[in-house]
Amino acid sequence: MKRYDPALYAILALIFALSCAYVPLAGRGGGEMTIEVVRDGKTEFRAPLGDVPEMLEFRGPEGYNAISSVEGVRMVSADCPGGDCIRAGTIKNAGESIICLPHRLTVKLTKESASEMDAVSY
Amino acid sequence: MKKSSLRHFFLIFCSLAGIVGIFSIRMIDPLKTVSRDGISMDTVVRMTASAAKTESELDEILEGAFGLLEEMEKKFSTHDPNSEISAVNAASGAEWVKISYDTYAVLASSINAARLADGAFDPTVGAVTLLWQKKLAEGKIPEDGEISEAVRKTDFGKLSLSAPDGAFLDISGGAIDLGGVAKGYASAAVRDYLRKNDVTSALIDLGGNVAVMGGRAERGEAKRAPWRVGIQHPAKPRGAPICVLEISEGAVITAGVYERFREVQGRRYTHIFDPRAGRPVDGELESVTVVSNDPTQADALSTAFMVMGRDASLRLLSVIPGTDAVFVSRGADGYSVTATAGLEGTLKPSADEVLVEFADVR
Repeated sequence: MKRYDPALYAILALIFALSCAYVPLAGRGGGEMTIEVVRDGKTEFRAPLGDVPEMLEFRGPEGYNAISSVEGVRMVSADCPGGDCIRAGTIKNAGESIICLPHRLTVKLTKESASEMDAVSY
Repeated sequence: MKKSSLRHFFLIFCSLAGIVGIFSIRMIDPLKTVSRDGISMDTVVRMTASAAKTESELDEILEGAFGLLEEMEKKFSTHDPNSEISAVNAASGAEWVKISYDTYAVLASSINAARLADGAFDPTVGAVTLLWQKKLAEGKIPEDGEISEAVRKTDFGKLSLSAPDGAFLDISGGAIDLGGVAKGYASAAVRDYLRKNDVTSALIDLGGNVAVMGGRAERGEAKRAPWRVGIQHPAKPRGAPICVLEISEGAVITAGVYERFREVQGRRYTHIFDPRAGRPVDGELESVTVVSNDPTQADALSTAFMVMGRDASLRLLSVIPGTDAVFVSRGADGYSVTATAGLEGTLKPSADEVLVEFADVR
């Protein structure tokens, strides 16, 4: 009787390797950055950052916002009274957001990844 | 040979069955998670809740949580002339006003925090904030006489409560301003409501005031991971952290001057006021984050610590059990972070150039 069948151990090793690989892979999506525009809790626009036009315009009951997505995302124009969203500047990394409170509009960058933060205290 | 390949087959079968078993436990995980974004209490709100319920049941529970926030906004708002706080302010120096449980509870917590902080936080600071808001909006700075008049009208010792539903502010022309405590109280109320509805894991983010419970529920994981809550970097866009805190249970509440301020004659005036001086805070602190199981107290203390400065705050923290804090200061060569020793091991810098120093206060 042959005690050490190499084929058997190869198969067992493969199964072991696959099951180890499954754990970190599970729940991790692609690494593509997504831009999401939410008005009043409802997602109004969502697309991979690479696929969006250079200028995005949004009109809502409270007013108008224009977003540029050239080298990061920034609010270029808005008819809100304060203009805080324009002053917020450019966002580039996942988890960052620009908020136009008077228009109840949030622009955020997200990325599916295991090491993301759940929230930021500010 | 035949016997051995049978044994091989059996071994392979067992390993495969084991793997399939592990995978299927992950599949039939009964825990569902639902998130909801919205705008309430003048800020961006996000809630995530997990429970052994259907998604539509969880949706309904979160809908109820947003309803709670709307109710509290109606009671606490100083912009709304019909709120309970506006009613107490309108009757200041004159008479008692009947208030609801929530308003009673938030005022009681505010008075406690004000005592603890020896007036560095004061719920009756309304006269000061109103004066500065009005003047700064006109591009002016209040005069010394106006400031001392507003400080005279600020005194939490003259705010009386009568259990369970009475309030009286015994300062003619005085005003309660719950800006430094309302969101903390609201997140505590939402957390209690979610617990009552059998939600086992949740994150409540009221415009950067974060409360978490039950750890982060992950599919098929018996042991829950802590939530990862960032602390905003003062000079980076919203959402970019200077540090990240791992926390399963409690509130992470920040008061900062880097975001809301007005410039008049080239000087920055923040929205956080020293109630005793009647002036906006003006120190090297960019932000203070308080970590505690009591979100209401954490909110009030974060404001108080901005006023008191780092060293006095650390001394006070030595007598407040179960409360930690993170101080972000602006120095000549960048930002520095000081945290209480209770956070050692769970608080990590996320920007390379930042050094976190831990202070033992106990």
